[in-house]
Amino acid sequence: MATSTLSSSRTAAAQNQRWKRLRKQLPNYLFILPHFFFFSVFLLYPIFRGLQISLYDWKIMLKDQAFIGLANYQALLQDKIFWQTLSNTAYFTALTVVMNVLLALFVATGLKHPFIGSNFLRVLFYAPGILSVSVLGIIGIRVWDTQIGILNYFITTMLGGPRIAWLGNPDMVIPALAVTTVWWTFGFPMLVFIAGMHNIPEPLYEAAKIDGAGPLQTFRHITLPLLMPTMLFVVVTQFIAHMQVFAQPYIITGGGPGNASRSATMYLYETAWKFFRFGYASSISVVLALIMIVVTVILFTLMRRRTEY
Amino acid sequence: MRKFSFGLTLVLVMALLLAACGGGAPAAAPAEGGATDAGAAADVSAPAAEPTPVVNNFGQCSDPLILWHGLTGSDGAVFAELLQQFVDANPDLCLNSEGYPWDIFFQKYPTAVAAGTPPDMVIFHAAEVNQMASEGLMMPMDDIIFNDGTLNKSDFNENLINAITVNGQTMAVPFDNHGWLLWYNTKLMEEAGLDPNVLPKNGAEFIEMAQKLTKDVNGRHPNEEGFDKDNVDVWAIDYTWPRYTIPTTLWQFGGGVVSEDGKTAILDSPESIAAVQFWHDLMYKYYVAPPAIPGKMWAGDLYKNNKLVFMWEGTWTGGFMRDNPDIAAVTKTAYINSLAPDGKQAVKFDSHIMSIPTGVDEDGIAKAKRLMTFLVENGAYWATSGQVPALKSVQALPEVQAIESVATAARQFNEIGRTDLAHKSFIEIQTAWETAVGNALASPTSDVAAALKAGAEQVQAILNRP
Repeated sequence: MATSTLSSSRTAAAQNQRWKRLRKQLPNYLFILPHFFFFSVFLLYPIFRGLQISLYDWKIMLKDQAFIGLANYQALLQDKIFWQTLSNTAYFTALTVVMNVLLALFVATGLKHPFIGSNFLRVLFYAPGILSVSVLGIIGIRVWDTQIGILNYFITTMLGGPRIAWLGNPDMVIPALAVTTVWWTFGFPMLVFIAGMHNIPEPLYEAAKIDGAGPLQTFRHITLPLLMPTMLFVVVTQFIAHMQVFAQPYIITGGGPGNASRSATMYLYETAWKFFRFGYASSISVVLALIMIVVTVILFTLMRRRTEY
Repeated sequence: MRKFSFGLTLVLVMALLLAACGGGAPAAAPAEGGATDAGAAADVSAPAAEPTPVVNNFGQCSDPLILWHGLTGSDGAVFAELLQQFVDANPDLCLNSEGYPWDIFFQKYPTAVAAGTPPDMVIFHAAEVNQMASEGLMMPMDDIIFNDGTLNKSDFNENLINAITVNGQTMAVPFDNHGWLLWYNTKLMEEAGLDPNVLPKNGAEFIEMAQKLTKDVNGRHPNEEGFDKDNVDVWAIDYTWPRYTIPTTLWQFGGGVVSEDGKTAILDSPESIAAVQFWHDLMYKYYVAPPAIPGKMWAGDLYKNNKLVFMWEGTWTGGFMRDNPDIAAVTKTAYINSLAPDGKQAVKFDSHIMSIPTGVDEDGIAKAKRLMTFLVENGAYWATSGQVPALKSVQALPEVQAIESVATAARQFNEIGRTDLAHKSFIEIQTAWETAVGNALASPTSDVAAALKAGAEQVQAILNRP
């Protein structure tokens, strides 16, 4: 009897504790609620709806859609255009992320310490990022055009070289788009790297200097290891952003020549809104999302190691 | 002070950027109907057409007729005048006209129909009718406007009516005929010692003439020693827009994209390969046409500056000529010249068609019917934009015949005009062959036959779908 009373009083106490904790945490849930509502309506629901649509031969005006199981995914495996656009996107992303990280790191190292004009240069390098992608597209055409492009003007007029079909050559078109994108976007990682570098304790550099370490050794053994959390953030955000590349090829090359610069999201858009194959387009989006999730997890696994001194 | 200098720096950089971006930035060339096409946008650059407001209201009333279309370029201005004339003649009606770029239009149109909130009337292209009708987005027009005798179907181009007839039902009303026309510079022909009244009749004659017309900045021709292909001053011809140029050439050579029965891809037939190879040779063997690469200059820019002799362009170029009277003064129009060995003539044409979306109520149908009838019957005014009126009886009117380009185009479309094959996956097929042709013409070393074979396989896969 005594045991039973003790047990029930313990249960009541635990319930009381839980209730107290819940009451204490309630404001947190209330703060989250508005965002969670819109997140659910405009993101969670579309994600699950997209997953569902990918299992149907979805016609926009049909009330009873035809369920086809995994047929869209099976077709996707054999779709040469999808694989080509995915390969284009991966190539573009790899080029852009690597160039962005290296350039941003290099420039951030130079701009870390204030000097006359350093603020001007920070703003200057960040400034292209405020342009809309439409403006970037027009600038891109102006720069790379074979006949009237600025680049070919310098090559032919000043250097006496041949006209180069930057956007017409399947081997050069993606690097050209990647360079254009790096010019546009590297300001943001540059600022993040500068902020990351400022978080590294100065005494470490002083100690290294006393120990006789040169600039390269300091960079390799202090800056780079302690910058890894920042690097992880930059690489992951850049990877996700550039895997979704759409407007640069859409505006500058239209995906050409042929399919040489067509990105996976361009193909996804065309499949849905030009060809009206919404089920197939949904399966493309699901596969793209899966690829991005897997690569992001791999990046986290490889780069999450923290260095501390 | 630090904040001030930072702000000042920001303003300076902004000013530099704006200066760099301002002035002379190329816009996409006016595509058919004045709107720009997403796929073509990258291939061309031209001065922006006079902007037309996206949304125009005509007349005052509580329940306007809602019209969606893509006529946003220079012909959009003429279209707006026509709509004003309509409400002036029908004071009991008012209009809300919304113009969109075509890619935006085709996003809004199906979603609006699916949501049960369609506009009362839409205008797009005949080539896309089969696809839109197959998706259940359009109402058949026979019982609405043809069977009661309001409009006479036989007064329209027969090929066109066939193209917009799906499962025996006519799904739309043609507003105009538009398509490729030869615009040529008589001054440059005379300067090259050629008679502007004698045009080439086949591919061989064309190449001979083109080599005389094309010259580099040193005045040398492509068949002369020392010709500088990287610095060409005057080109004989330009590829312009594959969507019209390629079907036209394929048909001239006896090829095509899809067989007449719509079951077989023939993009890799010997005739089709010969047709595309001819363009490849014009670009990379004879150097009489600029290479067809993304971002290349729009033909109109070359033409306007006396750097292009033969311009294959749309009937809508009438507006461009009005805006450029100097070049218009030395321009004549003719049927598209044949590039085929035997001189076979063919030309692609299309039409802006008017239709009523699925789900429009009786009142909306009645209003749309009145507007459609007005627009068709007043095609002579629409001809001032350069487009050919849809009704043959209107084409024959003296005021239409007085516009040289329109009169020539009307004759051409009626005699040798062909429309794209109607298919429920038309846009996907079009994207597939355009990509294949883009690959075929991408460089001097590209393998035309292999590229077209890959394209044909893709088209066939689309045709094979249930």
